[in-house]
Amino acid sequence: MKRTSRGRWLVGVLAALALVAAACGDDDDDTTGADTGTDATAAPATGGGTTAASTDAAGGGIAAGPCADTPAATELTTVKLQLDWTPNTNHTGFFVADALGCYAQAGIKLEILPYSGGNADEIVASGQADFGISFHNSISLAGPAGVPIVAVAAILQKTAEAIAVKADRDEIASPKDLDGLTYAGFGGPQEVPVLTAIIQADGGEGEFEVATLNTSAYEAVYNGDADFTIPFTLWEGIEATLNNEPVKYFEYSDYGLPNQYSVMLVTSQDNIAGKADLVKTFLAASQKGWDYAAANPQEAGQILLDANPSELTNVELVLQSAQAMADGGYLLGPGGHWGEIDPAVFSAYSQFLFEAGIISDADGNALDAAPDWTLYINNTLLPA
Amino acid sequence: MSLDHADRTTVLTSPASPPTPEMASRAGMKASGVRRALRHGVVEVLPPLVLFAALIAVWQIYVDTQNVRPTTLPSPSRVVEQGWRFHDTIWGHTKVTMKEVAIGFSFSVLFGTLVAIAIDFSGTVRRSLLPLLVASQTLPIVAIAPLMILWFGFGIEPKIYVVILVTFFPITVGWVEGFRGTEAEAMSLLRSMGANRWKVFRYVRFPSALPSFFLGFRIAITYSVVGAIFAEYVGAKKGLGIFMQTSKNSFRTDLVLAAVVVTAVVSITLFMLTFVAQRLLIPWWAASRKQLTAQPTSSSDGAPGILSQWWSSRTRTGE
Repeated sequence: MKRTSRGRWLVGVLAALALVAAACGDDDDDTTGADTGTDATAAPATGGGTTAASTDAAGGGIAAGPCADTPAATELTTVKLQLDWTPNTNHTGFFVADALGCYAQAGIKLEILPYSGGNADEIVASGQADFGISFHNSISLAGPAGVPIVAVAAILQKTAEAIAVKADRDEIASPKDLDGLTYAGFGGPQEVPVLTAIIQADGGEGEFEVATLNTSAYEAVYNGDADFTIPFTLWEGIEATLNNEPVKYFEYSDYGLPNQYSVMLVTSQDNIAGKADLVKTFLAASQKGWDYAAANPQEAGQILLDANPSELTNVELVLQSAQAMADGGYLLGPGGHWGEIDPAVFSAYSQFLFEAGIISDADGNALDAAPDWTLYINNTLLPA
Repeated sequence: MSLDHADRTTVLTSPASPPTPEMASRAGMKASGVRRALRHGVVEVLPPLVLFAALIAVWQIYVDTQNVRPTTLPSPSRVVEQGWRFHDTIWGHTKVTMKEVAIGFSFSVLFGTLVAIAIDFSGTVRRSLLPLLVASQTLPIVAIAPLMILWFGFGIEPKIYVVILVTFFPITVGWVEGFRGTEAEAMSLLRSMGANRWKVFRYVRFPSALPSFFLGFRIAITYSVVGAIFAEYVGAKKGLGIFMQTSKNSFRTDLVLAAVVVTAVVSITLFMLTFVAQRLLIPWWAASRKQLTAQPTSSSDGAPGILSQWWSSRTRTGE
């Protein structure tokens, strides 16, 4: 049983290697594409009509976006955005805003810093990047630990992950059945408290084995080495369906967990103090890109694909994910725009983490009293 | 390209080549009186200790005076303090890592020795295996380790394989070069006395290869701990690699560095133990060094020399 499934995975791995080889072959195209993009954004200094060119280069003849007709600024300020992972639909709006010329129009030249294993919060705090893609979980830990970062936009409005088990595990009917099984995780300090709370809310003990597997976590669950994991349902979840690996989910919210903003955009306290205007400008331009992605998910997904030809090879995955995010109400807040942060929502989930005992101060001592969570968010910099 | 006889003496010090002064000084130390040992200790141990203390002091002062955030760079005192506070946890992870190292390294020594003997006895085996061994050293572990999780699961198996992968080559080459460096006169003498091939191997080639083997052994052991930690990093339940990762995700840079300190201490301890093992297994090694020694010198145990030889061996073997 196990051997055959391993054999199957070997085949999968070989297929993946073939894909990698194919992707390598595309490298030249990729570089050319990037160059074109740079030229297009650098060009506005010489004259008008270049935003349309940049749209064509990245978007391939997409209908005019929110920023296409407006004249470009002449002086461009480089803004560095640190990604948290390889490009995916948690990043769509930034690529859209870039491709549609929203940044260029606002005088910004966007420089995307690819994920290289470093912690985006630390990279932003140390000034190596201006903005970073982070997570509600990470910000709640980083703030009290003395990392001077502030969340300035909620990239997703609600919990984007869920507990996943293989669909054919009939003996696992609800989270309490996970007691004694093996969890394939990612080394985040909140993972065990969250899962324990969910299992206990369902009447279980909350006792399970933990294996920290990172990117191999999903495969480990599919091939039976581990029993459950917490995928992003709109990425790994869709990927699993496309790969014919049906999984079933237990949603956090069904077991009493407060809603969380999942993915958030952070900047440093220094930037808010010293470059508030630039932060506001960047947020306004980004919001245009994300609002466009919410209204036109297929076009936005295509822009993301075109901007990352070698990283994103699964067209169907990207388009389905972009569509599901827009349809599922992940992108727009109650006010109808991307990025909105409700302090009450932010505090409620962070408070849960505090009560789980994983929030420590700068000296590594567990906090006695809950911090003022609003210190770590700023919702005043988005366009009113 | 291959480990041919012309490169022999430079690839790894063969027993026939002149003793290095570093080794001589160690041998001299044991045989001499307490006073000499003390003087030796001062000469050998003091300079690195002073340098180490100075570096730590600079680090501490820098962090204290520049107000560096502890999540970016914790002070050494904080690393020690917090490391001690979590010493139970760290020790629990260290035991797992050491078990992986012990099993992986034992397999490496066993298989490395058998393969080296096979290579020594058969030209065909040598010609077919050595290039593969060299090629094995060019595999980027970064790419292989995550795949090993898929192939072998996240238990102890893939860690053992990674440890074997990083330690097998120096051990095997240590033996192979040692065998080839055997003095021709000694072998002709034994043959003239009617010894068969096996007896020649057993009484001359094997013992005379031991010092060379220990060079490879020593190099390999310094890689083994880091190899195991790397394998844990891509997927495990427990171990220093996992501890470093979860500490990083909790913004506990001080605990990451505490685990780094533990890694260094374990590696250095294992490295030192190889000298003890060498003395116990081949007492004549120390004695012969002593005879050939003039004066103890101020250089240390020879790690840099060995490593640079190792490096030159890697570059020479066609990478």
